[in-house]
Amino acid sequence: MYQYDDTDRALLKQRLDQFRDQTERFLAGDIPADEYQQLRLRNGVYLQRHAPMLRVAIPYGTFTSEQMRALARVADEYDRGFGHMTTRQNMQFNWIPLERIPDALEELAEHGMHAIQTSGSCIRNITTDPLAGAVADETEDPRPWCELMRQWSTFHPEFNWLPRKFKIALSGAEADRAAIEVHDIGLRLRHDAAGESIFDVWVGGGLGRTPHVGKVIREGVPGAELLRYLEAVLRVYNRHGRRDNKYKARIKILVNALTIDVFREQVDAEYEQTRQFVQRIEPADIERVRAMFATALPREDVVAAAPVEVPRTFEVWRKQNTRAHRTPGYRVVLISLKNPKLPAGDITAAQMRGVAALADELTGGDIRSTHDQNLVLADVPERALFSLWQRLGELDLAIANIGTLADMIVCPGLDFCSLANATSISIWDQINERIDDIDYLHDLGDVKVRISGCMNACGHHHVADIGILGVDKKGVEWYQLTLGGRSQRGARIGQRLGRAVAKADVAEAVQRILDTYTAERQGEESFVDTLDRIGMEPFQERVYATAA
Amino acid sequence: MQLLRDGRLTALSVARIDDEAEAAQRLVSLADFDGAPGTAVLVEPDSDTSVASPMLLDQERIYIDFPVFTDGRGYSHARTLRLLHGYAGELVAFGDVRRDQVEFMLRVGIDAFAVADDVDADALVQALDELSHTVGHRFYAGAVAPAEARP
Repeated sequence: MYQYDDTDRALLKQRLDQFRDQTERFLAGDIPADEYQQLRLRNGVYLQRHAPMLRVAIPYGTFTSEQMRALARVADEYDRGFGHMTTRQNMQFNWIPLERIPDALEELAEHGMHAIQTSGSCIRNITTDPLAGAVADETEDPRPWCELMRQWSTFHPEFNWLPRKFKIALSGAEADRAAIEVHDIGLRLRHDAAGESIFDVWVGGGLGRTPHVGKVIREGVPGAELLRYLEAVLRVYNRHGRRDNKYKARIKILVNALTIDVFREQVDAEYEQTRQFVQRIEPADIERVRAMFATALPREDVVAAAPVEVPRTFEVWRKQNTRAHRTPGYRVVLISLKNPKLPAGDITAAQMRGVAALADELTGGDIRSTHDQNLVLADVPERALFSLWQRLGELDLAIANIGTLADMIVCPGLDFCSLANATSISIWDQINERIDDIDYLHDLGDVKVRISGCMNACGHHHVADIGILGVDKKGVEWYQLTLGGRSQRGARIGQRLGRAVAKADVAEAVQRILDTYTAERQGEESFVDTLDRIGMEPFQERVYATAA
Repeated sequence: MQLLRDGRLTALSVARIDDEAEAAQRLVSLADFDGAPGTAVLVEPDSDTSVASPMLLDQERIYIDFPVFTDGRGYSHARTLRLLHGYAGELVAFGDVRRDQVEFMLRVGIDAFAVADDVDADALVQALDELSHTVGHRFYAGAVAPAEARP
């Protein structure tokens, strides 16, 4: 993976000193609260319901065992022994006192980590396929391009005060595991006829209050021109995006107001005029970074079957939580952070250390975080799977629910977040209690449930098979259900099922939706395909039949 | 009001057109600029800088308006004037100029700051002094020095 050099380290140190100084000046009363708010946001610090929240960047979801151990130390020494994985592949801490945050950041900086631009109206952490570099359906590993974009977007002087936050995602594979169509900019990396890297560009996707699937603005942008084209998009947005209403300030609103064709014309004009002034990515630039990500896996003999008789639970876990690797003899292992004992996406400091140790042994220290709040060990030798499973079990991390309904995306909700209208974690608990039979979950197949505690949609409920949105009605928590959303290729926004259900009835409503699906599906038919074939009515009849 | 440039403060007497304060010179919105030399042209957030007249580029000084520090349009205007149009005169940040923003202003080619009377000018000078070691290279979007901007 990418190795920080003196320049990276100097920039990090400089930013840390600056933020420490800003925090001290704020605590001394020398910076007004409204200004400090903007400064702390650009360093990943929110003031939450109970304490500040610190969002640490994990650029494109790739980090090392050393960095995981640094996160564990922060969890132990500054927080309450937990970290929380986010949908932008970052890690959040919820209990660090403001005056101690600069020290926590210093600890992280020693290991090349930071919280820069993880919030605020600027370019956020760039996300990508968590299986990058390891799977067979990939045209090219997207991470070297992500790294160059990270450098370009970090402290970009022109785009630090955009109308609103800006999220970029990149996928280099056939399957879209980065949800590129629901990002401000989505990039699909592919090769042209000559084998050169080119990018198809989506713009104006996003969730939140007004969910939109992005539109293709340009196909085949040459790799060398990538930053030039991105600058043109960002400049048009920076100059013309709305600033009078924060709920209408995302690029999706501008693209929709102008239409994609007019927006494209403006971007093209800007690009033609200014491209010569923006850095080209020369072949040597990308080659230098590619070399850092290239993993030479030692040759492994394919193990036909497990050496001795193995428990069925291992076979189930292997089927559910591992994926084919592009190199024979290896598997990609997903580690579920969806243990009902903890809030979804939470990981203890002890588990962090345990995963770090396993990564040291098995993957050269490489660890990934995923968009759906899990972890990945990407290059695990097949022969090591059984002992890995056993040791993950000792860490309480071997739960075989990846890609099942229990693999929910859940925002922190009212328990932590000061924006939320309703709790999310209690709904996660309620569904887990109601639907706890692992065989039933496996039989359901890949049905995605996602929970957001308010319309800001951090739980991505719009793009779930079953989306759950918490709303506040006169001080009482209610939950709206949407069906049929999707974040992969051919992304679409879920449709509202009907009136909101009471908090106590959410799991019952989900169960009835699932009952409808299992009764109506034909063979291996997916949830969305069943919904498209039979329509909303059967689901509505069942959920609202006896006044749930 | 003072003008801060190259670490030195000098007197400055300009004001917005609707400002009742006494001032030697009133700022003129870019849209109303008639080309007269020595005009205190103000590029506002919604100004159009995609084209620039020769008269504008001949001005020794152009003011970039930051009505509030969170409005980032001035950064695009400054960069467009420097890079696209090769403007080589002085670019002055005017309005809500705060010490924690000057770094990014410098890096888009702004080289002077109008310091309002209620702003701690010495703190601003000190902040700029501390920035002298700012690194900008490789793919980290670097500084745009006015001298380099001439096509």
